[in-house]
Amino acid sequence: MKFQSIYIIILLFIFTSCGDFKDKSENQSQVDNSREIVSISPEEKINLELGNSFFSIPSPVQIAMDLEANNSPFSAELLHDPESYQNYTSEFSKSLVMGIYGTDLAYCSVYGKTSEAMKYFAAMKKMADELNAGYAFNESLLKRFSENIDNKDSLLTLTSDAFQEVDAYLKDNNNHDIAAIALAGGWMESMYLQSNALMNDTSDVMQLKIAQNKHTLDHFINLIDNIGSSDDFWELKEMFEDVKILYNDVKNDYTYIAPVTNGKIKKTVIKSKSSFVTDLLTSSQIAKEFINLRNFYAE
Amino acid sequence: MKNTVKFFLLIGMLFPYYLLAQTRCDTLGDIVKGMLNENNETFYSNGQSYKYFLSEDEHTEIVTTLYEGTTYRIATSAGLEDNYMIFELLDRDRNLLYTNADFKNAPYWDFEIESTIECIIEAKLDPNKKLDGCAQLIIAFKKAN
Repeated sequence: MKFQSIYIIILLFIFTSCGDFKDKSENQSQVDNSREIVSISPEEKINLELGNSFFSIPSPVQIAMDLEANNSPFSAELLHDPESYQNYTSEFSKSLVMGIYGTDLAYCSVYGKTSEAMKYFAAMKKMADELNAGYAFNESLLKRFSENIDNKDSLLTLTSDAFQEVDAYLKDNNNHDIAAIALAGGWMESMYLQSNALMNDTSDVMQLKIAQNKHTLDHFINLIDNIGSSDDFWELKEMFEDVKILYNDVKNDYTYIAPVTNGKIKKTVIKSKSSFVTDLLTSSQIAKEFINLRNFYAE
Repeated sequence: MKNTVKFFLLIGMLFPYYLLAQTRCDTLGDIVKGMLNENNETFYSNGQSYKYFLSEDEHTEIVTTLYEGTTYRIATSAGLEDNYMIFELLDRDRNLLYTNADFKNAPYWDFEIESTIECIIEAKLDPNKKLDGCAQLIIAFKKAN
């Protein structure tokens, strides 16, 4: 009898929530009936709801493309040893280094260094395996990667896809802290490459590239505040805050200008102006701090 | 023994339901990724996954830096129809730069950036189209022509 009751309740539950459509309430019956509701299990809702506020970090592919566009030469000696993955034992260090390998993969892909890209793809996968996120590198991604290794555009798409798959897999499995630290590692490596580029080319353009990451650093400090769960996080946060002190000398102003939208081509040109004021001394100090930071974590 | 069999039968009935919900959320990723190549363009995802469960009165917010000399594509999906989501691009002072509500809830839009700026992307479900459910957003980029 008890099981019959449960059975009926569950059947009711299924038939009232499984469909694509449901009534919001009788009062709203006049509202467009094409509205859709997708039913989600409570467990899934918990997985997705870590607060609805996010920070977006520039892609390592984007930063590498910037370096290439500014004629910064490829420097293989800057990259982290793809064989040193065994040196990392804690979840924190593995996550960080997975991000570092990801950026090195992006850097090699952008510069068309296919054999190096393969090594970093494999290193990134090994670290993902270590973090139980190897499933993100599914068979299709591996196959596409090996088949398109010589096509630069495809390689960049696949590199971006690899980041996306790992990030999604970690977040879907409630590993937001690992996802955030992998992002931090990737960004740290990007800033390391950009900082080294500044050491060779001290032009205003290269100084500006460093300066324009002022707010991204703020986002990371906030992100670690939100997801930090151990001393490793607080140590990284303190090191980021040391860089932030240097960034205080970079002044940033903003002026709103009305954007221009062309609906036919689905494009809006954002005309607002923002200025970052820096000098060589400040930029060099920030660059040195980023280089020290990365060398501290990459053994 | 009989009760145990019934118990496992019920679990068996519920499991496909769970998988169905999971699959619906997962398929959004493919829908949004497909938008990165529309209009004969190739945009690269920034590698981050923004997936939410939104209810009628909820919105989500992404704070980001958009870099000069880059064109960004913001793509969204909350189901098989294109127009379930409303998204807005705001500057750091919350001046409205763009809303897809002015363009029949267009699922993706391109933004050419002339000067590196801090922005906020706000996304929510259109209450006239969908009440709650999974939503996904991708920020993608390409170098401006």
